[in-house]
Amino acid sequence: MKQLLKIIPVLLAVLVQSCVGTDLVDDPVIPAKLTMLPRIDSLSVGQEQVFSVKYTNKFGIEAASGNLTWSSSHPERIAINASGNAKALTSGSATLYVTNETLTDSIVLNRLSGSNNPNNPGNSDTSFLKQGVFMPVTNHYTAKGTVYVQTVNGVSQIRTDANFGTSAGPSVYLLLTNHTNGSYSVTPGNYAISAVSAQITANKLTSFSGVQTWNIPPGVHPADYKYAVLYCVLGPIFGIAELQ
Amino acid sequence: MLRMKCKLRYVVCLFLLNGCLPAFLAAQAWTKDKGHGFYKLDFASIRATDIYDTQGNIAPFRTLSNYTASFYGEYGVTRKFTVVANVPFFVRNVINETKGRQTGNILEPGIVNNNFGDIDLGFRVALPVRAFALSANVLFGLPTGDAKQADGLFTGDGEFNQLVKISAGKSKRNWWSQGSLGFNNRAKGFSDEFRYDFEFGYKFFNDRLLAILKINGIESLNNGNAEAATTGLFSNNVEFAGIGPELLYYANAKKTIGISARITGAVKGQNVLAAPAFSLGVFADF
Repeated sequence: MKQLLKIIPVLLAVLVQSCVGTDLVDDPVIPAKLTMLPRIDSLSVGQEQVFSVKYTNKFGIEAASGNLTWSSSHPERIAINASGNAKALTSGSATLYVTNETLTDSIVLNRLSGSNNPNNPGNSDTSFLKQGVFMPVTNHYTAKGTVYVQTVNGVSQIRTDANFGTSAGPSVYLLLTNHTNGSYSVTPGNYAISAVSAQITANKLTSFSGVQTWNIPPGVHPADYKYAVLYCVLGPIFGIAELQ
Repeated sequence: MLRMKCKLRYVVCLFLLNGCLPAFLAAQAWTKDKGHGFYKLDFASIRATDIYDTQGNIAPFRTLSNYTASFYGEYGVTRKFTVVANVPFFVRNVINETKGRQTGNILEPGIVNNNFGDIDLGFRVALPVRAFALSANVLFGLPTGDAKQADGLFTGDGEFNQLVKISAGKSKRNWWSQGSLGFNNRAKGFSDEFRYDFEFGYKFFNDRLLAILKINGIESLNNGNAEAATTGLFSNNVEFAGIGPELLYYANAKKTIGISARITGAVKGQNVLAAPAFSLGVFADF
């Protein structure tokens, strides 16, 4: 009898000490990216600027960029040397390019100061930048309606239309992302912004239909993302909208 | 044959382990003698990487583990009236964190919920049939578990269900057999269910070792409108058909104390985790 009862604390110990395990999964694959820095859009005649690059591989990890080649569309206006040092020589615009073995990035430079950033029109008009229609991933879950990426008074927003609807769930988030493999970093209460995805809803969707608007968090550039995704933390993607 | 093996995937409804049915279902066709009882401390676990989805197809899932410690007891108030209780006093649900194989980055944090489960209270009444044992079973599922966990790792369904079941059994010297058919009326938009089970048991070694083969299942009427949790925990419209062995061994000559071991498996499922379930227990029978 006593020996039998000794089993109980052993089983209880196993029960309580069962820890959170770790599932190893393939990291989400995203397009490798070569980015010329800084992202300026003007230079004054006679002004010099040293450019650098940031290269992130298919897992979003910053890595060595490889051999770089710098060039200018109009070297008579803006010259750039093999080290990325540029100088505005005359008036007019030019595009600067940087290329490694596989990727190219560019910046349009204008000698005039001021911004031509379409994300910041500086008026109260609404500008629609992208839109997409939610489609369900499987017939198990609902996803419908149109999602818009827009700017209002210079503030980037994401908005759903009256036809929007999705299956309810205990932890459904709206993400901007470049892949649809279902593996995202989501942190309740915080915008988890990475090369993988940008979290638009910090505290989960509380309404699963109709017109809703969220301000896009600072640091998220909606133009960088191809998809809006309705994602349940506990597993499935409910729906995907390809942004165009 | 190979195809059959592939289909024979183990599955367990966590709500089954957690309390909607007692963990120990043996001898439910028979009532206990007056003043006699059966009491069991049970430890069950399931670790699933797949789930049966709403269409009954197996789909991959983050590793989800459930550990349940429960007390099951039945006591004969009279020779024809037995009270039954199942108390899952500790339920631990765990979803693994995910880590990127290439980067080593934590992609999704792990989630844990430790809580009380849903208690079942009920009774069994012997019906006046001479040729075989026949009883009516009534079981009330109390919503004592956690049905509001933010990430859906529920330990209860949050509804008060009532299970009515008729059980019939027949026994000879070394064997017994019984079967049951019941209706589970569920509240709060959960679909009602038909439940069935059948078991065949045989006694070895001077009746000290009991080997039982159990078959049980649930068929949902799919008439509820409650949302199914994406974890498969306490989901609505749950269905499964299961089969599995159980061994009980009396540790003393008086046959009052013993240990038990059980594996539960299934041949089909819907809205349930797809993984084998194991349980160990100690019991007293006097």
